[in-house]
Amino acid sequence: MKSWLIRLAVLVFLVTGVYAFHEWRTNRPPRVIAAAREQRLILGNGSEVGTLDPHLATGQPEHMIFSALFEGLVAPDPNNPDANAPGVASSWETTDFIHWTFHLRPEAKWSDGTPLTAHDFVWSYQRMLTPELIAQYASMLFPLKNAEEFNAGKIKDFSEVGIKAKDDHTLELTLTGPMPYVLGMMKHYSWFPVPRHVVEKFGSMTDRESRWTRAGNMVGNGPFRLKEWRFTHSTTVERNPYYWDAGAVKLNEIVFLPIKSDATEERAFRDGQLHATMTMPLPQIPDYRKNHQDVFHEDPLLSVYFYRINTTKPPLNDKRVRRALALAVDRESLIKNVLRGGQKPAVGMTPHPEYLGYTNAPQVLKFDPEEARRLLAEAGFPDGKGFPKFDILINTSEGHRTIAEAIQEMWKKHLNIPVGIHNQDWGVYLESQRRLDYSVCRAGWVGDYPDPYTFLSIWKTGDGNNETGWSNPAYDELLAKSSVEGDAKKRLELLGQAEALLLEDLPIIPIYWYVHSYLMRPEVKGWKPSVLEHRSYKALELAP
Amino acid sequence: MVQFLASRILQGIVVVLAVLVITFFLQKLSPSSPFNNEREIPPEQRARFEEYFGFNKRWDEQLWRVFTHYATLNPPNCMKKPGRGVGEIIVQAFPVSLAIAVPSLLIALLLGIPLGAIAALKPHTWQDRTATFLATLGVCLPSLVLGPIVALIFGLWLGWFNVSGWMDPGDWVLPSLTLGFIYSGPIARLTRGGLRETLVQDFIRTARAKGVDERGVVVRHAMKLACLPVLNYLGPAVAGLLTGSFVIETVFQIPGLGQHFVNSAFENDHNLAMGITLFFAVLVVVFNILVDLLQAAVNPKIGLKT
Repeated sequence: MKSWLIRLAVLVFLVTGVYAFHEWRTNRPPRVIAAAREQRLILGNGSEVGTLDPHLATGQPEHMIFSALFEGLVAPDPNNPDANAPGVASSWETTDFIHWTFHLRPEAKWSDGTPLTAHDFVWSYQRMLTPELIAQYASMLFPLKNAEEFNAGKIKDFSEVGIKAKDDHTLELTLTGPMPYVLGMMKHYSWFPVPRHVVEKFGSMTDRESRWTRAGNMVGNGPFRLKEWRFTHSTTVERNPYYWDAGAVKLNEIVFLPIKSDATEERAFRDGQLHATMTMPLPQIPDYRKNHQDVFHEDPLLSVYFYRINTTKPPLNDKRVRRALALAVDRESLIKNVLRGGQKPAVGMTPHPEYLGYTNAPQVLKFDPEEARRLLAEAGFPDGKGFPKFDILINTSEGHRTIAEAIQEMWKKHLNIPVGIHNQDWGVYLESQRRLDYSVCRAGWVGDYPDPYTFLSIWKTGDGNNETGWSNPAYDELLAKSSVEGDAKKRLELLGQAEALLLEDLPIIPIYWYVHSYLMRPEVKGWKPSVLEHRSYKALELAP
Repeated sequence: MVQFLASRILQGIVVVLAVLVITFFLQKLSPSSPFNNEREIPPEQRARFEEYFGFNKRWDEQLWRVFTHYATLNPPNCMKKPGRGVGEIIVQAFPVSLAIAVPSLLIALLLGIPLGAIAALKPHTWQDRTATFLATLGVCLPSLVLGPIVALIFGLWLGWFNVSGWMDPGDWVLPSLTLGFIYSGPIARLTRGGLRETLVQDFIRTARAKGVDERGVVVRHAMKLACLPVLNYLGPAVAGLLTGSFVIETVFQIPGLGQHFVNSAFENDHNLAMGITLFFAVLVVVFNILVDLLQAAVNPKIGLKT
C-alpha cells in the first residue's frame, strides 16, 4: 500500500512538473514579437558570407548585408529598389552616357564620423582593379575607361583609368562607351567605396587576409554599421548615426541569420524566429500560396534557368537539332506540374524583359512538338531514329535531377530520342562544363545589373562564361555596336537583334525565369519587390 | 604506462601524418579546382589565385608547405573565406560542437546502457523486444528524418524549445536529444550483446554460488566486462560527436564544426578541409588512446600492450 502511495506521489509530481514546464515554455513570447518591439528585424540570409569586404565578395548573402553596411554613388529607391535614387552622390549629369559627373554630398561620412570624399571612391576603385587583390568581380568596373587594361596589368598608371576626383565632392567618370545602364550597375557592391583609413590601418591596399571587416574594426557608409559578426551564427548591424539620411532610418537593428536549409528556415519562420525568410521549400509553395497569403510572397527575379548545349559535338552542332530540343520542352507543364513554384516559362534568354524596359525582347521559344519532329527529321533523324544517346549533365541536387527527368521524358515522348542523366559533384561539374566535356548541361545565370547586356554579353566569342563552343561573328558585331550606341532605344534594338540571333542558333535552351518565393510577416512594412533583390533597409519598419 | 603512452603517441603521429599525406593526394587527384565558380574567372586571375595559394609550385613543395603549417601549429588561411584562418574557424566552431556532443553522449549512455541491460536481463520478453525495437530505431533512423520530427514535436507542436538557432540557453536540447537517441541505438545493442555473453561466464556462476544477489551480480560483476564493447565504440563515436554532425547542424542551424567540414569539401576549400580532417584525426587518435587506458583500468587482463 505504502509503495503504491509513493508511486502515485511520484506520478503526480511528474505530471505536475511536466505541466508547469509546458506552461512556462509555451508562454514565452516568440522571438519576432520581442524583436518587433525593439525595431529589430530578423532575416534569413541563406548561407554564411565568405567575407564582408565588398571588393572580395561574390555572393548573394553578402549582397543582402552590404545593402545595410554600404552605399554607392547611387542607391536603391525606397519605393522601387530597382530604380536609381541618390546615394552618396546627391546628383549627377551626363551628356553622352560616356562622361559622367557625380556631385557627392558634403555631409557624407563613414560610420566612424570621418568625411567621405570623392578621393575615397578613386582609391576604392583602384583597390578593386589592382591585380594583386584578385577581386573576382573586378570586371564589374570594366565599363570605366582603361579599367580592364589596368586590371590585366597592361597599364600600370591608375591615373589613366577613367575616374578622377575633381575636388572632394566631385567625381568624374569616363566610360569605354555610352552606357545608360551604368547607374544600375553602381548599386552592385563592387562599386561601393571602402574606407582607406581603416583598410590601411589593418593591412595594405591589396591584403586579402586583412581583418578590417571584423566587428570593432569595420567602418562603412550605409544606413547601418556592423555591430556583431558571429561566424556561421549571425551578423548584426545597428543604426549608423553618421549616415547622411540617418533620420529616415526606422529600424534599430537587423539580424541576418545564415540559414542554409530552406526547410529549417521555414520551420524557424513558423516558430516565430524570423521576420522574413530568404527562400522556402518548393513543395510547400502551393499550400502557402493557397492558405497563407498574408505571409507568402512571390516576386520576379532577374535570373534564368537554362541548359547549355555543347555545339562542338555532333549531332548537337546542327542548329536544327538544337532547335528541335528547345521546341520539345513543355515549359508550362514543367512549371505547373513539376516545379510548382510560380516560375515563368523562359520564352527568351533575358528574364522578365518588361522590368528592364526591353520592349523589343524576342520572346520566341514555345512548345511545338510537331515542328520539333519536323526539324529533327530534316536533320536526318526521322522519329529520332539513329539519334545517338547523350546525357544531361547536372550537379548533384534533387531539384536539378527532377527537372532533367521531366525534360528527358519530354524528349523521349516527343522526339523519341534516348537521353540519360549524369550528375557530378559541384566542382567536377564546373570543370566538365569549362572543358566542354558534356553534351547538354544545366546552368543558371543571375543578372548583375538591370540591363539585357548582363545576359547577352556572356555569349560573345571567347567569353569565359560561354562554355558552349558557340561563336557567331554577327552576334559579336551586334553586341559591339550596342556598346558604342549612345541612343538608349537604338541600343536596346541592337541587343534585341542579338538576342534574336542567339535564340535562332540556340547554343542554350532557356527553361524558366526565376521568381523569388519567400515568407514575410505582415508587421514588416516598406519592403518592396526587386528583380535584382536590392533592398532599401532605411525604408523598412516593424509595425507593433 | 609511460612506455605504452609513448608508443601510442608515436603511432598516433604516424597515423595523423598518413592522414595528411592521403588527404593531400586525394585533393590533388580531385578533378575540380578550388578556383572554379559558376561564373568563370579569367585565366590570368586563375593564375594569380594559383600563385597566391602556392598551387603553381611542385607537388612536393606544396606538401611540405602543408606539413610545415601544421607541424608549427600555424594553420593556413581559408581559400574561400578571405581573412579567416583555418585555426580560427576550428577554435570558433569546436566549442559549439562540444556543447552539443557532451549532453548527446550523456543521453546516449543514460538511454543506451539501461535499454541494453533490460534487453539482456529479460531476453525474449516484451521488455527485450521493446528495448531492441528502440535500439534498432536509433540505429536505423537517419538524423535527417529524426531531427525534423524532434523539431516538429518539441518545437512547433509543444512549443518547448526553439526549432533552430543558437541564441537561447536551451538551444542545445533538441539537437542533443536527436544525436543522443541516434547514438543510444548502437550502445544499447552492444550492451545487450556484451551483458548476455558475460552473464553465462564461469565467474558469474561462481558469484551467484557465493550468494551474491542478482543486482550485485549484474552491477558489480557483469556490467564492467559487458561495457567493454561499448567503450571500444565510444572512441571514434566521441570524436565524431565532437567534430559535429553536418545534418544535425543544418537541421537545427547550429554553428558547429560539421557544417564547415562538409562545406569545405563542397567548395573545394583544400586548406579548410585539410585542417578539419587533421583535427578529426587527432581526436580519433586521442580518444582511442583514452579508450585503451579505460579498458585496461576496467579489465586488468587486457593490460597496456604496446
